[in-house]
Amino acid sequence: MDQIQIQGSELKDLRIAILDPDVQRAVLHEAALDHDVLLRRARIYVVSDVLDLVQAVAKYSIDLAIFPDSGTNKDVVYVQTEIYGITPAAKCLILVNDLALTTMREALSVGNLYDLAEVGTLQFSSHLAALILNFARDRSNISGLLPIMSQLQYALTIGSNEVWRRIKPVSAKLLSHMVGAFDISLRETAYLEQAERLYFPWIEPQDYQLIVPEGIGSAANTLMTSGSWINNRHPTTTAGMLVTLVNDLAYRLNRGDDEETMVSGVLTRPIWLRHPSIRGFSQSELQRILAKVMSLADGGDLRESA
Amino acid sequence: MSRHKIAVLPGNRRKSGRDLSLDKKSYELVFDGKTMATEIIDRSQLGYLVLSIAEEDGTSLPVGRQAALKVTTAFETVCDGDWTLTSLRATGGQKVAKFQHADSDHFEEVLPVIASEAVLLRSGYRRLAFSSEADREELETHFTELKDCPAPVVVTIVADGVILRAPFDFEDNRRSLEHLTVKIADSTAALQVGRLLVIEYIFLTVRYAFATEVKDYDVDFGLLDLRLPKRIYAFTNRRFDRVPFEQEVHLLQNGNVKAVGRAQNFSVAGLALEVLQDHGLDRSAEFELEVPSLGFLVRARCARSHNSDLVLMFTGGQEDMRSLRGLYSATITSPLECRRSDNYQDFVELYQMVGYAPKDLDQRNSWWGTTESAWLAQDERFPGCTVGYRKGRALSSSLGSIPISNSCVYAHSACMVQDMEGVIGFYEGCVKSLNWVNLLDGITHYMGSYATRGRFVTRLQTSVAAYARPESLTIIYMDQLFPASELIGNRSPTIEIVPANADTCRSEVAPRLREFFDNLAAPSETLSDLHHASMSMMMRRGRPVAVIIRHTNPVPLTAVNILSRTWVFTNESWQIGRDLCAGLRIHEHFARDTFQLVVGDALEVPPEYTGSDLSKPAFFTLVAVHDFGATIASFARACYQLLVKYGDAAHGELSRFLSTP
Repeated sequence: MDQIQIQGSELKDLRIAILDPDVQRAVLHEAALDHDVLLRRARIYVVSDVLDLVQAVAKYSIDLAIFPDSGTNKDVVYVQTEIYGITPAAKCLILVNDLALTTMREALSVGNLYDLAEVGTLQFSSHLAALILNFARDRSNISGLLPIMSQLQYALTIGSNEVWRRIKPVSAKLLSHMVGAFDISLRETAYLEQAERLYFPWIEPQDYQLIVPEGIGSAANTLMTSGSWINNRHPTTTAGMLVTLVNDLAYRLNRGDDEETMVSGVLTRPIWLRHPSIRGFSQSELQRILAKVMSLADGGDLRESA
Repeated sequence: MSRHKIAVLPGNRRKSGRDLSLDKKSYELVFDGKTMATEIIDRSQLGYLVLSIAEEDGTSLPVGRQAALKVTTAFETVCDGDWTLTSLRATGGQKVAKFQHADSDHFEEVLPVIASEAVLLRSGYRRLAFSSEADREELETHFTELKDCPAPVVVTIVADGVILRAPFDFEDNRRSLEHLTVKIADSTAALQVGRLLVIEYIFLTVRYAFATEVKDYDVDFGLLDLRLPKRIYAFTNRRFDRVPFEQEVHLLQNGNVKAVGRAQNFSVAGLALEVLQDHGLDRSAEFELEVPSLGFLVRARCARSHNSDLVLMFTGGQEDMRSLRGLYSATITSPLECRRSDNYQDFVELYQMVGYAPKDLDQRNSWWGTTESAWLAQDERFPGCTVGYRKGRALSSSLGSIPISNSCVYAHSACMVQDMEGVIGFYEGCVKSLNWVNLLDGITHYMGSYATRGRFVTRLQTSVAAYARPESLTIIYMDQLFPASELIGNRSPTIEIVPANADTCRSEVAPRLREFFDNLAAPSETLSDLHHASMSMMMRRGRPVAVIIRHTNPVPLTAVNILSRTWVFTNESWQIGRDLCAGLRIHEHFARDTFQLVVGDALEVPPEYTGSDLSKPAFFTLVAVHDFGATIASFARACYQLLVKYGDAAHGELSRFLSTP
């Protein structure tokens, strides 16, 4: 069957700002990076002035700012601090020409330093592209976020009931089998994973803002868009639908529903799953995923273990 | 919605049954390596071409053979590609030859939305097949672009008795698209599974069309799933695009108003109107078409009539084309505006802002003192030749066109303020400007000059290489050498400048550049009082080393006035070429000239220069008129990429790239 792959999910929301003091080279970089096959979905802004770099960070929710430690009239740590002041989420990659140890120490202490690279990187668009791709990979790293979530989830489930402590491992496995079919980046998947851990159908969307730890806004955003079979709420995004769906299925599995009932239940598109992305699942697709989850070697039949 | 609005080219031309627009022109046919004179009898049937040829020529044509075909006029290529001669019959001392396009069977599937003219030129369309590895990659990229486009891409769905408009829907966010989905607002549409449909949409001025069938119709969400097509057609042919034009018109015969009607649209070929009052118009005779509100008057005759609907064909010559340009400029409305004497000051302010006009007040006044008369002369002869885009009080972009020769138009004064309005204004100006060039009789090429590393230019040049690349695009690299404040150089006794005629000079220029040379060598007759060219040869030890074309004009014609430069073509190295230019400065005539140095085949960017002159590497582009569609698409792509950088703020503006501009 002919298929069109929506490529580059990892890069579709990536926003990069690059400062190259050489105006003519900056023009070439921007055009070259915009036409780079791998980076086509990323949004890359190349500027030649520090002021423009800072403005870009403020205006376009930049994920990574790349700038050299020389060639501008501002101190590199000053620029870094200014960017941190605008948004702590924006990381900085400093291209080093002559960075003193003390300056490096200061740069590290600001808290938004992503990495250091050689200033010669600015000579070639392909080298910049490689740096951006490395950042895209690192950005998807979820280590450091999940432990917080696990603790939080534990606190939440203790406060509710034991059943959900059995449901959650199943919903997580279901999720891992489902995300691959969607145009979702690894980073979004990480947030989705976090959101899934915290999802409980009885929590109202606005309450998630109070529960989810500060600085992990994307997980909260996903939860805000989830549906609920208890509160009769429909999801408003693909991520929200997925979180709801996997918990719904895991809940039904735990309840002892047979496969046919579960699948037909989903395909009737109840309110809590009412989002166009539910169309991605056919009966056979759902059966395939359920079969995979239920036949996991370590867990055996999940209904028995539940 | 009427059918003709969704056609790649207007339906009323498609249905006309007989091509009338290019009557009275002489055509040349080259088929299977044989050349002969011909006339076009019919090109209105998609995938077919009927020609008339002399009886003796016809005997040598191989019936049933597929071969390369080319039909040309003195000015342009009308048709090319692989065609099969399917029949050849004698009639009235002539032979009528019927040709079938190699892809005609495939065209049938998208018949409802494309017109025959769209596929006459090989460069006017592309067929992208999923079965081809390379095409599939391109299609993957295309649909990813559609998905990521911040504005919804609306498609037209055509089936028997059904014409719907609906946006592509990617809300299900699937990674692998096994089907395409559109969101249908009208739930009453009969779109049962298996129903055959033709889909058409526009993205970055390229029209796409494909045939498919309904895979599923999800009434819950109002989503219609379409099977992936086997082929997708991408059309860039815009030669005959019609301009919407709703004005009262009069049809006159013998000086009397014989009919009153309401115009609907017009193109380079003719005008469509609805007759409101008929006072005895003789539809078989020639008449005059008048637009009273604009004082527009041209000769025309009826190409096709059906009750009150008339399709007129312009029959006049150069003078009428001038009127037509005036008519076109009248259709340019705010925020775009044509340069006129009452807005000259705004153009001057824009050029001053972008560095085209002198910043110093005295210098600017002096420049303006000589420039104003040139602008007046151009705007009187070529109304609408320069357009600007107004943002609030000031202009934010401009683009002008001026005939540099009888067959070539030169784009000049291209600039934009670096903001969102500047980009969108420049894009719309480009489209209007290129459409305007369509209305210049005898023009075959469009020329532009660019600094090698401009922000927009770099993007434009890299993007044309990616997708919307005009096949006929030629890039000519050169070095611009501006005179230094102090003249440095020695008269070389071995160098001699001798007058030469065009033919002698032409033979010394690299074959790749001869078309370009021709356009520089003979300035337009329309501007003969404002633009002159003289040719000479630079000789060393009796051997020609360079060809010189010296352009002069009494007043600056454009903002930067490239039409006053001295061109030096040499087959020596860059270093020797620059030395030759330095040597030229010693001659009184050339002392303060700016040289456009072209070396060899002009395929290389000039190396860095450390001589006395100020060097600014640049390049010229030359593109054939029939490739305007692809040229506009490359402009659109470059502008689109700049515009998406503005994020959500540009959302509203982006929709302009998704419809016919």
